[in-house]
Amino acid sequence: MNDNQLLRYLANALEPGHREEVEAQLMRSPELRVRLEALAREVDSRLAPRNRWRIPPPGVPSGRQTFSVASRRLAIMGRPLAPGDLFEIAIAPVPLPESVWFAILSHGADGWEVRFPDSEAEVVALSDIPADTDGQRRIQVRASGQTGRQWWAVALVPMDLAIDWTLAPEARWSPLIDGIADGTVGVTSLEVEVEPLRAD
Amino acid sequence: MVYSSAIAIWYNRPIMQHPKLQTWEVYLASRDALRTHALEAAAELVAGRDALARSMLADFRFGRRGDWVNSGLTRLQADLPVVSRRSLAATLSSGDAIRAPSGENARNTWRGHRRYTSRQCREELEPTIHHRIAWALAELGGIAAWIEDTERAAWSRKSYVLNPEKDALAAMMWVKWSNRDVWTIRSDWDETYLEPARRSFAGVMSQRKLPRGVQATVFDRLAGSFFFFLCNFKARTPGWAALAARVVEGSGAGPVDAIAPLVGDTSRAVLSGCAAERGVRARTVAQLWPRYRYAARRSVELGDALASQPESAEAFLDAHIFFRLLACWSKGDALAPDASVNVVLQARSRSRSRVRAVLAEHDRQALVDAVLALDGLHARTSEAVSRLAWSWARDELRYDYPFDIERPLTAPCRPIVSSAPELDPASTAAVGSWVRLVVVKGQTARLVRWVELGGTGDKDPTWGRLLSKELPRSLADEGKSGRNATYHGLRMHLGDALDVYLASSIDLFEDLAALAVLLETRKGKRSLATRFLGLLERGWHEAIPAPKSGFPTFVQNVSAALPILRDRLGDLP
Repeated sequence: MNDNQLLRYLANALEPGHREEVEAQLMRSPELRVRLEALAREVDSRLAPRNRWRIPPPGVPSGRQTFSVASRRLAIMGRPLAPGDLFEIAIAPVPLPESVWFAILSHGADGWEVRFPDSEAEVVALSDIPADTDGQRRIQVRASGQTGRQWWAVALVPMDLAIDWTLAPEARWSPLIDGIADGTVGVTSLEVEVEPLRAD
Repeated sequence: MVYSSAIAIWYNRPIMQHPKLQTWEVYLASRDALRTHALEAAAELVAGRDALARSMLADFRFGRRGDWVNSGLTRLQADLPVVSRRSLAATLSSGDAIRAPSGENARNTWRGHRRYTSRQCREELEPTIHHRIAWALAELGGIAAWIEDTERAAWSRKSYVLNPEKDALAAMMWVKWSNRDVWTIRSDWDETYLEPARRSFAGVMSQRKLPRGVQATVFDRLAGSFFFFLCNFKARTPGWAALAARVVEGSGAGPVDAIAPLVGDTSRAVLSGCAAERGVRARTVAQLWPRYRYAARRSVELGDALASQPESAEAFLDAHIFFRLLACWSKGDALAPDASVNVVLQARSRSRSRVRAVLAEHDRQALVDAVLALDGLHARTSEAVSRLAWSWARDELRYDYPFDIERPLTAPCRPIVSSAPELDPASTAAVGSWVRLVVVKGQTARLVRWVELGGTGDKDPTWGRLLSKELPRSLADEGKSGRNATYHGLRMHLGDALDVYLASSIDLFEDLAALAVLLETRKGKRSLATRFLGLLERGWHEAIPAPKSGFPTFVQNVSAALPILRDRLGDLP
């Protein structure tokens, strides 16, 4: 019996006949039971705590009012985007831009974090960002320190969504998390490739 | 501990009372009955009597279809398994020669005892026709019984915990999925079913030892994708409908019997068309309806069989497994006990996933109605999510976790062209020239297989170029061009008219073959190209590039094709 079967057994992902076969083997083999327990511990340790954020993968706009975004590296002597460099997020036109403000999120080792705004004073209605001739509104964002693919997201938050700015971030963003989950807050994510800054 | 409850299931059971476990003596008795029966049946079959052999196929669901059994036994005798002396003995030798297992091996599953027998048997048997047929019959008999129990009966033994509150919530959410009213259920859905999906992803990541830094991102992507993966309403096979098909699979005596009654007319046409036209299933269909030369007609026959009785789906699937095993064994493949079972699992898995995909595309309401008729809906849904997520996790792993929700786990069958297109005279002339080119290039047999079976069964580069480079774009299927070009319409056309094209060119082929005489002299060889092209270019359509070099080979190709063509065309009414 291979680990694949045992792991599927643990995940309840085996079809009934195959589950029966695994159970039968477990009954007759103490060694197999030891292996199963070891695998269960391994899988348990991999199950990270559940994150409440529901940010869709890049390219999948989420929300009852969806929108698209695109990223663009700002020209820096023709070199690739490096940690700390600025890049641009262009938000495609949305109806009633004065009714929403935007939040910028990034994904790191600890999951999702709201990078902007950090306080109520920083809240900016989307309509306050000048639109290009094609209706796009561009925001400059500074890439974080990690190299590789960085995962970012833009949320368009209704002005009437109540955020308690006096709370610590974990509690503060609960209405935003709920709004993304139930679709009242639109969110779209994107990836940018960040390469180490070379000495040459 | 997340899994403590799962582990407790087997800790708390009385040891050795599992229905899948049998003692060595019980296994040996059933093995002995099977091998004795198989040896007798093979001897009878070699002598021209098939009654015993037929009785050995009774456990397959097609066992009652006399015509399919006839086809199966014909194939068995034509494609004898290529089995080693040891393997023959492992199945056919007396059990007395095998040392009885001890300790925990004294009780085992059927598959476990088979593995043990295969390892322990030290005897050898001569690979006579009698032994080879007996080996196949014994193996098939055992596998048929295993399929019946593990792949069908086990589903009816499975019970699901009832939880009125959660079952009602699950039912409400299924209604919302089908009504596309999903934002209101997202939180509840994620709260209830994201965890089983996470466990499946964790299992796959554990198996592959994925770095822990990567897996945190995977879990966050899964959390954000789970809902969209299911509610991708633009997809031909939205995830929620594919999940519903998995839930329904668990509702009957077996997964195929459970969903077969939901197959509507459109789904049936697509499924029978795909089976008759595509891949290895096409060969099974051709063997079950050998009197029909063309895939389109066989597709109709399969569709009629599926429509007359939903149980025909399992019968067809069993027949497909039967022919797959014979094909593998005749090449010396899949002879080991687990390898044979893997052929079964792969064939069933692929076929079932096709059926689920087609139902998810065409029969969504029937799926939802069937889901809502089930009890224990929460437990059933949770288990189906686990299985779906396991497949999803493996698929994401293959592509490095892009979570592309546009990519279905199972590519749905493309609708086949249901009738041959009408071709204008210019196109007909082009097809005629192309058919001649195919014969000249020595691809006659592949052309016939392509037309009759829907594929050539290999990836021959010459044939590939004939399709991709030497057919005018106007003959490709509508909307398909470049590297994605398909030629189902042309194939259907040739299904009706290939023999007409060949018959109209037979005199030309005779003339071309006669040029072989030029190869005997140096002067003749020098004039071959001119003479060959002079004959070929009469009535040649400009859209088809004429051959430029290799004329001696072309003459040989045409000469080799002629007897086959004469034989084929002589069959015409």
